[in-house]
Amino acid sequence: MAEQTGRALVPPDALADLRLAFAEEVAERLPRLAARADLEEARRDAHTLASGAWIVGEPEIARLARAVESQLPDGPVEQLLALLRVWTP
Amino acid sequence: MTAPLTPPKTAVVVVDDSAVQRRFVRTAVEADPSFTVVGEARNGKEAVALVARLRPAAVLMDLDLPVMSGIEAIERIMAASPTPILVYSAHVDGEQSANALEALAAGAVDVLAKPSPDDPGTLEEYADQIRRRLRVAARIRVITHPRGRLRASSPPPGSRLSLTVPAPRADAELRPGVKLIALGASTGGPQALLAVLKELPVDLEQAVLVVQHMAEGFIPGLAAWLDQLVPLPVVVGGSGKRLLPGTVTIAPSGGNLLVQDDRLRVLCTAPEAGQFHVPGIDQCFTSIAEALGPDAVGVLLTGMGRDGAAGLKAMRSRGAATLGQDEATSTVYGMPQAAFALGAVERQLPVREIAPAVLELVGRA
Repeated sequence: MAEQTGRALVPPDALADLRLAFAEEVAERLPRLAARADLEEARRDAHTLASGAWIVGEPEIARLARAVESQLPDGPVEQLLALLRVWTP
Repeated sequence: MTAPLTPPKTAVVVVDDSAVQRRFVRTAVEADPSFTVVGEARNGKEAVALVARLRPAAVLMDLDLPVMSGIEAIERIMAASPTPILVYSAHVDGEQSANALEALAAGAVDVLAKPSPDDPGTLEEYADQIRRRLRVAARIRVITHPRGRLRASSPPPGSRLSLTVPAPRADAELRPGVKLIALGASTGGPQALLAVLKELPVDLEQAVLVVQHMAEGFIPGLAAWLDQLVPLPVVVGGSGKRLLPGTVTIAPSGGNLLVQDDRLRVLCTAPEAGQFHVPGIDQCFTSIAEALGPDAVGVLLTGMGRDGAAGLKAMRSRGAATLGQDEATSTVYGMPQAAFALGAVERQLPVREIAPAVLELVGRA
C-alpha cells in the first residue's frame, strides 16, 4: 500500500480505521467493478472508491477510479482493478 | 457551588454511501466538540427517514447516492422536515457546477466540492472546511421546500413567455426611465433568483444585473443553469462590457462589478481589503446609485449577513425604487432584514410578488 502523503494531521488510529473501512469497501465493490454487469452500479462503485482512496492516501487509485467513473465501459479498468486487488485479502 | 452548564451539542446527520467518507466526515465533524453526529444514512431514502426521526440541526450529504438521488432526498427533506443541508460532492465544481445549483435550488443551503485526486490540500484542510461551513449552515433557519413553492407558483408548461401580470396597484409608481433592474442575493439566492427571473418577459426593455455571493468557479454554472430556465438570456459580466437590455448579466466571482455610467458600462475591480462577501452587493448597488440615480430598481433577496443593505439605501437615497424579500419566503432573512431596518426598502414582498412589482414599476403590467 502506498505511503500516505499529506495525512500527518489525521490521528494514526483514525487513519487506521479509515484504511480498514476502505479495505472493506474494496472487498465489496471490486467484484462488481470487475464484472461490469450493471454499468450504472459500476460507475457508482468507481465514484465511491475514488473519494475513499483520496482520503486514505491513495491518489493513484483515486485518479484511475475517477477516469473509470467518467469513461465506463472504457477507461483504465484493468489498471484500477490491479491496484485495488492489493487491498483485498 | 454548581457545575458550569455545558451547552447542548449541535446534532448532525451524515449521508453518504461510502463507509470511508462517513467515518471521515464523522471524525472531522466531531473534532469540534460542539458537534455530535447522531446518525448516518447510506442512501437518499434512508436520509429522508432518518432526518424526519432524529430532527438534527444540520445534514451533511453527498449528492451521488443510490436508491434515491441526493437532489430528490434534499427536496423531500425540505418538504417534510426542513433542515439546513450542506452538500459535499465530487461533481459540483468546474463544468459540473450546474449540479451545485440544482442542489441549492432543491433547498440545500451550501455546497462544498470534494477534493479531486490531484488536490494538493491535506485531509485536515478538507476537514476544517467541512467544520467551518457546517457551523454557518447549522445556524440557518430554513423554511419548507423552496422548490415546492416555486412549482406551485409556476405558470403551466408552454405559457412561460406569455405571462399574466397582475393589474397595476393604484399606489404603484411608474418609473418609465428605468434602465436597470439590479438584484442582490446570498444564501438561498439561486432559487429566489429563479422565482423572480422566470417571470420577466423575453422582450423586457431593461437590463437585469444579478450579484449573487458565490465561491470562485460557480458563477458560470449559475448562469448556464438560469439560462436554461428563464425566458431572458443569462450571461456572465466582465470588465469593459455593457449591460444589455433584455439580458440578465451575472456579476463574476472574485471581485466587484461596478456600473460606471448611464450607458451601463461595467468595470470589475478587486475586492476591497477585508471584504468578506465577494462579489460585493453594496459596492455594486452604490455604483448604480451614483450612475443611474432614479433610473434603476434595486432588489435585495434572501441571504445571511447585511451585504447590500447600505447599497440599497444609497439607491433609495438617489431616487431608485427598492424592494426587499420578506421574512416568510427568505431562506435566511438577514440581508433583507438589515436593509429594511436601515430604511432602504420601499416595499417588502414575498418572492413570488417581486417580479410583478418590478414589472409594474417599469410599466409592463
